Amino acid sequence: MAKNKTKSYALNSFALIITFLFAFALIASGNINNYYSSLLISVLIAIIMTVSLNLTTGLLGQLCLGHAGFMSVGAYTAGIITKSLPDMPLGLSLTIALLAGGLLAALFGFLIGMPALRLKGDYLAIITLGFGEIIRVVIENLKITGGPAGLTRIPRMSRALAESPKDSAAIQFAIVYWIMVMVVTSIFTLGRSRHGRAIISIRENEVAAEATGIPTTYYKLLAFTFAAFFAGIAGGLHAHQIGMLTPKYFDFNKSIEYLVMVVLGGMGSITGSIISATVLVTLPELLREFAAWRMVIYSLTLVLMMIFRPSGLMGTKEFSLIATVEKLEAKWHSVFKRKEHKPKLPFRPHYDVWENQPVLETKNLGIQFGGLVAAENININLKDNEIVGLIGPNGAGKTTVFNLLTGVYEPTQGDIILLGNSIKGRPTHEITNNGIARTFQNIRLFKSMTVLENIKVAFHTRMRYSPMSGILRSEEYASEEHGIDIRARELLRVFDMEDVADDNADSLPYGLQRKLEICRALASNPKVLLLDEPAAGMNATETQELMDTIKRIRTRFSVAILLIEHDMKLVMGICERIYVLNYGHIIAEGTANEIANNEDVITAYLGMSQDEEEGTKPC
Amino acid sequence: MKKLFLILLSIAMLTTLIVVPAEEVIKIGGIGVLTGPYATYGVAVKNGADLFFEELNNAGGIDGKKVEIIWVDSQGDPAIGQQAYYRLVENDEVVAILGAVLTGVTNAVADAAAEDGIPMVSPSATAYEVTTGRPNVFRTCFIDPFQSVMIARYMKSKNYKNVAALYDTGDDYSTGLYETFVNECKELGLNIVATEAAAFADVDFKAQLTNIKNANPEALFLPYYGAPAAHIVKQADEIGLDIPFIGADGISSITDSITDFSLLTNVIYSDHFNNDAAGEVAVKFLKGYEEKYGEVPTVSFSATAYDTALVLTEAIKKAGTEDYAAIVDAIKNMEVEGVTGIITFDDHNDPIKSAFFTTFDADGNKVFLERVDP
Amino acid sequence: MSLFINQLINGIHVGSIYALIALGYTMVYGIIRLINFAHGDILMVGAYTVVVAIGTLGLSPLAAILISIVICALFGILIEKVAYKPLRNSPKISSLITAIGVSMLLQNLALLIFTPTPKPYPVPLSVAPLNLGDIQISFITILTFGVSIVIMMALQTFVTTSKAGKSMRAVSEDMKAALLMGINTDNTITLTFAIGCTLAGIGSALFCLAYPSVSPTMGSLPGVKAFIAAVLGGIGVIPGAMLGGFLLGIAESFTKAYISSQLSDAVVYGILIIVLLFKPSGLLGKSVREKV
Repeated sequence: MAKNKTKSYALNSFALIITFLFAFALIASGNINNYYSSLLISVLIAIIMTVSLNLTTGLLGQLCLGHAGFMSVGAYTAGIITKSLPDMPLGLSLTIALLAGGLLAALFGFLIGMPALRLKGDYLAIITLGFGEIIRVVIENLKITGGPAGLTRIPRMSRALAESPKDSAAIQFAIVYWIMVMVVTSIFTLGRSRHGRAIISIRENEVAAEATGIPTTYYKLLAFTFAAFFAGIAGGLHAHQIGMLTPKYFDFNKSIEYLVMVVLGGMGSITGSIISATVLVTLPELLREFAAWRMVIYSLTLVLMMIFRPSGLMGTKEFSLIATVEKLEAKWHSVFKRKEHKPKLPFRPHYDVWENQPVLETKNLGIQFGGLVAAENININLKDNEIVGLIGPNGAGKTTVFNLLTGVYEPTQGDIILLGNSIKGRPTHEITNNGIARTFQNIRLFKSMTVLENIKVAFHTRMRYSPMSGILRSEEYASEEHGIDIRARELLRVFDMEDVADDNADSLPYGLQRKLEICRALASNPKVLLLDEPAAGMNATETQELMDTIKRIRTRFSVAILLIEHDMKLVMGICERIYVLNYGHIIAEGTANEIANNEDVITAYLGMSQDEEEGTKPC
Repeated sequence: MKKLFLILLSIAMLTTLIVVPAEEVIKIGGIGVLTGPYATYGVAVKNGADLFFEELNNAGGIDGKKVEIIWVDSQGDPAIGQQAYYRLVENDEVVAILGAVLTGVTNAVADAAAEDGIPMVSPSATAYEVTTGRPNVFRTCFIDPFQSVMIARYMKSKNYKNVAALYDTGDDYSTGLYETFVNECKELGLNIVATEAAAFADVDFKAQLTNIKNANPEALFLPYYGAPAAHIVKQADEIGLDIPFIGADGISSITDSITDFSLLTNVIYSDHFNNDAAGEVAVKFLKGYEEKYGEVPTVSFSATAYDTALVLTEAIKKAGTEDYAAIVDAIKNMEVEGVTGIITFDDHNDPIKSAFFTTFDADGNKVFLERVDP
Repeated sequence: MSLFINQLINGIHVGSIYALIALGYTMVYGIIRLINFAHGDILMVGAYTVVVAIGTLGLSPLAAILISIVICALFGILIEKVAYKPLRNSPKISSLITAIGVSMLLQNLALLIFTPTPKPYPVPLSVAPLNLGDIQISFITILTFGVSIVIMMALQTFVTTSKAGKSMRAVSEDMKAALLMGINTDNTITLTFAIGCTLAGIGSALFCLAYPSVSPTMGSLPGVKAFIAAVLGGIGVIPGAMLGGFLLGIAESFTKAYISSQLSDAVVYGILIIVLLFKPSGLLGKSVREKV
């Protein structure tokens, strides 16, 4: 594993350095003239902008239409700073300026993200558009930014970094190139760390991500803020490339330009972003005769892309130097030797369970939506390692109860006690970390992630390494990732799914998808497992298998299970106790036998003919 | 058969290389906004310059050499404008730059041009600081401060005491003019009783005009381009605001955007030249323009662009070489008659020109009022 | 006082136009949950049609306007069929991006075909304004307000009572269920676009009568503002678009008159943000919970 990684680093670094030296030499010697070198700088800046936008729009999956606003904040801040420090050597003032620009842009990202990220989809896109425009209008009206005339006489990197113009241009290239490399690598490695997984899981299925223990609000803000930071840096670089700024430059159309680059390259693919940014900056230059058609072709391409190839050039795939090399090597080498360092296994919470005390209990739990009482006076409890059923006719409120238990809804009445502590009002991901995990009626998997990755998401909060560690690929990162890899495969083995570990989740047959969901829920080490119609869509054989699986899980993982089901064979077969829900109230409680003979229960399942009745009784 | 054909073709091509000597051409780079929402101005500039060079080349060029102007579209984007500059200088090896058109783009291009020392003359960038500290950058249009000063003086000369102003906060041309106007009014003792502003691209000015009407000014300062000015004039008429509207050169294209010309009789503006009060060069320009393009020039930048081309040509002739510094020197010391009058440059590389106050008759024709000298 | 009333009238005039355009946004969003970014540009399409009809074809102003309204409706249908229909089952982000693409395409085609030089709207209208003391109301204001109100009432009646209107409401509630009930969802959606764009066409005529300058990007700003108006009133709710339109127009007018004309744009976007943060479903909209 480590050897793989080292090889990958070596290969990638080698490629980067060779490219750099080659270009640097050409610029310093004047063989690449100002025209090509400034075009190159424009490409590099566009790459930074595109890749940073890809973080929010591609990886996080939230359409952001105001990215140029962050760029402008960074640009103006940086420009104002270098202009006010004329006596400092540009190299130093530029460093301060870029950092300040990036940080201020990040602050804006944070401040805008906080309210904005509560919205979804269209609304989020619109509000980012609104913020982008407001930033522009404000900049246009401030004295310090020069108003509509803008900021001029910003020291330009192509002249002010050294005595000779050629040297200065070469240094400009060096600065922008390595900053680009840092940004792209950071986003790339972040994307492949547990934090990236968390972000991608939010894109795939936000509800499931939250339920799997990911603090979604935190990660949405993280992605947004990082993206804004990098955009601010790109802005600062732009300011010192051109030497002047006007507020109109950073308008909605500019945001759209970068969006087009992200979309064309493939949302979620860093490599795609690099390619499309390069192409879309250089192509118009080469085709200047067709300038009038440029925008028409752009917009047409956008529309056609969305209709025929929405995944863009690269989809969500990345081009990896190491992967290509490895494919060749695999032909005549056997599997690489594994770990050289100790894997750090994920932290396993220990649950204090008192004798005879329920692990989960509700006290007069209820919720009212406006005038509609969806659930009322729900009193259920779950003892350690029990398997309890929750049944009732359609619309009785069973999933509502689950939603209350997992914090998706906040109860308007009553309380929920988990292992002796009240969890009422807590956010879902916290509840998950405290010991309740669930599956969903409509399977909510992270579709474009592999089976293994789906499980790894659940280990998220049992790991410790920070985003910085993820970016820098520290020791902590390596050992923790190795640790969960072991655990995740173990878990899959229990469920007989180890051989599909690397398949995409949405390529699995239905039955396996359900199993995966349960497996994922167990990965977060819960004490209580809530299963919402696990047997839905299964035939008799599969249902029998499921029953065995559930019993095995209960013992092996020492969890209490509460399940919602309509399949009476399963319920009667494995449930030690059953609650019956109707119109939001518990109407009966007892063993399978007691329930089957309960008058109220039979009446509740109205319109049951003699045959149907018989079919529900255990033989 | 194919082989024979190819051989003959190659020979033919080679002979053309030998027989026809490469023509010596003087290349000038043109940068303007040729596409996008502001293209009207770029195209007007291109038309004016192209007309001049066509006439020049027909008359033999400069000492027998033809002049070729290579246009690159800036798309109104300073970054692309700067890129265009590099392309023209590095790849096409032009000897001078004609442009840019918009102030923002011109600033970006001038920054780079100042580093290289290449002669650069803009026909339309009116912001003062474009030429500050840049000895090789010139312009043939007035600077904003100049127009505002002239307008304020004009108002004073008509004995107005209370005036109002309406300007565009999102446009540097408009805000630049407004700020210098305010300063000059202070100097001259003119009272600004109402100041209103509008956001860029707004089409509804009734709220602002209503406020202005309420303040009872005798004249309204209107530093706007023709299209929005047309809206303003119409809406002012609707609410019954009947006072003179006095603006700067941007107003010249107002006839493109209005159908009821009778509303224009209240509009006065300062222009670079006037079709009527014209000298020989102006008459030639107007005739040539109409012949080549089939219409009368509406945007005055066509005239200044023609003059820019004239200035560059004269300078190259005078310098006798393609050396940047020599041409710049020749421009500095130039005095030539152009469409817009006698052109000569001051220490700030700005032209010393007169303003032609113009109004319209009820059919939309421009009517010369008076000439104001600096 | 008369100043206040004059500003109010200004606001109502602008608001009526916003309302008409907002109706188109809201109807489309209501039925297929798509923000039709290209809607504002339909305004531009209508305007150029009139220019061409009168200038090149020599038609009378009234005929030109009627034709332009029809052309707008046809454009709406065309865009729906070609660009939006294939993406009906795709993730929202794709449709949103396509809508942006269509808008840009319309604007840039117009730039290419008609050049950026603004052209005057060739419909002369000179009728004396109404004078009530200090207050002056122009004929166009009265016409705009009157036409808007009549159309809105007609639309509301149509949607609530007619069969087609009921289909529209059914499809916007639940497309799949409507399909199962035998409603031809495709036709209903087409009808919605047609009506929405017809309204935009009428709005275009009224807009150009008041602001007679036609340019390729003329629809952007009114489009964005009308969209904000729709969100303010409650996107997807027809009375919401009307309410939002008037409120926004008046707010804009008063901001320009009494607060600061510089920041009127910022205020308008500010309203958008405040609405989205505190009541994203708008003033008259209902909050929809996501089913977990």
